[in-house]
This record gives sequence, structure tokens and C-alpha cells, in this order.
Amino acid sequence: MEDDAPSDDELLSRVRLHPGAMALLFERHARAVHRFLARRTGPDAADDLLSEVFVAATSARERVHAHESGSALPWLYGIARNVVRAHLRTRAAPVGWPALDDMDWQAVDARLDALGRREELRRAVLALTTDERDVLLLVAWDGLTPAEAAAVLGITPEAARARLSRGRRRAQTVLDTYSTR
Amino acid sequence: MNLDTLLDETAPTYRPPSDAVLGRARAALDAQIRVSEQHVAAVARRSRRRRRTVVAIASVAAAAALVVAPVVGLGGSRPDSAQAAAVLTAAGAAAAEQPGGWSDAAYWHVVSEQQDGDGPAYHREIWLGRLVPGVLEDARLEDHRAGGPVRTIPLDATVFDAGAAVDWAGLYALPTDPDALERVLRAGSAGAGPDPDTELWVVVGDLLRETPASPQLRAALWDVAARVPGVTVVGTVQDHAGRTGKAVERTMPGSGRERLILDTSDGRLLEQVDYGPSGGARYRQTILSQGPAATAPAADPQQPKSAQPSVSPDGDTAPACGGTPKAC
Repeated sequence: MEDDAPSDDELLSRVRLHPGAMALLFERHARAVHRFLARRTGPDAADDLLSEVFVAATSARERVHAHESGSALPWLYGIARNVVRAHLRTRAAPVGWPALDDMDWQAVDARLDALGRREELRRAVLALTTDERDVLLLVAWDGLTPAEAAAVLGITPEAARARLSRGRRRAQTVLDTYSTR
Repeated sequence: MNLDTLLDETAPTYRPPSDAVLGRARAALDAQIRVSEQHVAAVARRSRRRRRTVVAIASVAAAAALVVAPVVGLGGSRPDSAQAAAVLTAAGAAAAEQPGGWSDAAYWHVVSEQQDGDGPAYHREIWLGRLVPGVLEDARLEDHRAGGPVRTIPLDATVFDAGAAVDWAGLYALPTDPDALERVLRAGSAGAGPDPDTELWVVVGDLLRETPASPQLRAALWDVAARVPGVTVVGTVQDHAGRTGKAVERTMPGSGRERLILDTSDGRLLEQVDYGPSGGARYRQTILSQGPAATAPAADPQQPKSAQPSVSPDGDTAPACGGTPKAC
């Protein structure tokens, strides 16, 4: 990025009347959004869904609001979550994993074969409420800060931090119980 | 086992997208950007200076009854303004002789040509629905690159800019007496634009350009235009379609000049040109025809089904005004 390139904040304030500003946001963030999608759906589905996210963001740009960090990414991740959810809604619910989620648990399940960690992860995940799981995985698997996760989920940073610590405690308890059996 | 270790071990591995994937996504985005730009252009063009929207629809009659705004006289004694007033009044008299009145047409169909600066000229057709949203067809949409050609896009519900926004019936409820009309238009646009006279001039131009205004209303609009100070006669000119008309111009504070070319023999507005502060043409619209229509074409499919409104972020309820005053 060049030094004099407009910030995400500037682009977001422009984008309602100048949709072309989305192109610069794409060049800046397409890879991060792809990664976000791939962690939820696997790389092949992510390839297909990437364009949907940016097309939908362009349509939804009237409702944009920037995160206080100045980054457009939390907004784009929020749209990506909805695209993933719409994508997964067309498929059968996975057995033994949370249903109605924005994570393709079948894809997760498939890649756990080699790790031998399926049962532990499944127990930890099922111990969490949907809200706690959302925050925990955004932080653990997507590398977001709790504040960024809050922006993706449309909640306050305080609420995100509370869900995170509650969820971590609960999941760890389940893991401790499981391994001592 | 430790939760963090478990999450680390089970985190998905990642392969970055290929250039082909990025290219496909970018092409789809570019197509959507074009469609969105057309929406913005259609709306911005039709309501360049509207500050209040449909909320104000019912207020026109009330404003007419309650608000007595000062009426500006015939543009003073300056001969150039008097000359312009004569041209505009003549157009008004001719407009009143046009047949018609389209209070119950299904659509108002306007065929025009647009040009930005010295760029290419584009064919534009708009169908403004009386009871249903309209449709815009614009040659620019042929550039649509992914998913086949998209040339026709749906518009929002039709509103006209009479200072306050009015729908089709509201347009027909406007007074056709010039004094009363001027009062309503000034009341509706109070506080908007750089100054009240400029605002009045813009509103009058918009109502003459792409609306089903009756001949009586058109006559009154030209009469109101004749009262706006600062209008000068350029002379007899040809518009971009080769038609001969009279050109009048007004300096628009802070933004150059606006020229109207009109046919004084029948009161039709032929062309509108905006000139920037440096004198170059910034935008023009040449009206080739306008009239009632019973039907409008169907809008092309807009976008892949993935882009349904349902995929906006959760809890994302911020107002539509993206933080810039211009956006509201």
C-alpha cells in the first residue's frame, strides 16, 4: 500500500456514493476475507464464496460502519459470516456437531481424522453456547482481537471479552473432565 | 488437555487463493460496482439537491396553505435578465398549448442522451412508474462483464423534486398559478442549496426535465423560471441533437454555470448542460423525447442470488448516511 493511499475509514465514508471505492478494499482485503472463509468452509468453497462477499458488501454498503480500529475488515468479516451461513443452510446439518452455524463442521470433522483430536474438540465446542463459540473461534482460529470479534458479531467489546472468558472456562472444564476419565 | 493447545492443533490449515480465483472475484465485484454506480447516478441525477425525501410527500399542500414566502420580482431592471425572462415566459405560453395531462398514465418514458465532460455520449431511457417503481436503461450497463449483459436496472419508487419530494399525484396537485407555484417550491426547498434562488432554479429545471408535468404546470414552471434573478440569454443555438433552440444560462454559486436550451415554439426543454468553474462542460443531458407509456421493460436480473439483502451483517443498523453530509 502506498503511503498516500486512502485509509479504510476514508474509503468506507466514500463508498456509498462512490461504489468504485470497493475495488481498493478488495485489493487490500480479499486475501484476508478468503482466509476467513476458508477456515469455515474449506478452501474450495472459499474460492467460490469470495466473490459473493464483495458483491454483497457493495450492495450492503449503505449500512456500512467502520470499526474504531479504522479497518474495514470487521465489516467484511461480518458479511462473510452471513454468506457462509447462507451457503451452509443449503446442506444437511452435520451429525454430532453444532447445527445452524457459520462453521462447516463437516469440513472440520473431515480434517480431524489424522489428528486424533476429534472427540476432544467436539466436546469442547458442544460445551459452549453459540455466542461463546463465535467469539472463541474468531479469536483462536481467525486471530482476531476480542474487540475485532465484537465488531464482527455486532456486540460491545466488553460483551465479547465476557463471552470469551466464560467460554474458555467452560470448555477447559469439559476438557479436564474428559481427560481424567 | 489444554484448550489453547487443542485449538492450535485443530486450527484449519490454509492455502491462499490462486490468481484465477482472485481475478474471478474481482470481475464479479467490478460488475456489481457498475450496477451500483448506475443506481447512484440515477438517484443522484434525479434528486441532485434533494435533502428531504419521501417523508415530505404530504406536506406540499400544507406548505402551500401555510407558508407565505417572499416572492421575488421580475429579476430587476437589468436588461439581460428581462430578456431572459421574455424567452422563458414565451416558452411558458407555448407549453400551455401542448396537448395532454398524464395524471393517470402508468409510466413516464424519457429518452435522452447523457455525457460526462468530453467522454462518450450514452443513450438513456427511464420509465418512471406512477404506482410502481421505475426502470432505467443505460448503455453504460453494457459494460457489465460477468454473468452476461445487464442493461436495465430497477429504480426506487418514483418521487419528483418539488423542493419537497412529491409522488406522481403530488406533482399533479401542485398549483399551476405561477405565484402560488413559486411559493410552494420555495417553501419546500427552504434552507437547501447555496441560496434560495439557485435552489428554485434547480428545482424548476428538474421538474421540466424528467417528469410527467402537465402542460399547465410546465407553463407555470417556465413563468417561475423567468422570475429567478441572474439568468441571461446566450442566444439561438443548436443542441447536441441538432435542434435549434434558445439558450439561457445562470451562474450557479460555487459550481459554474447551468445552461438550458429550450424550444420557444412549443415550450419543450431540449437540453441541460452543467459547466464547471473553469468553463468546460461537466455534464449534459439532451432530452430526445418524453411521453406517457403503458408498460415498461422488465429489469434485468441484477446480481447473483448470493447478493440478496439478507446477507448484511448482523446487528448492522446504522443509518444510511455513511458519515458524509453529502450522503444524506
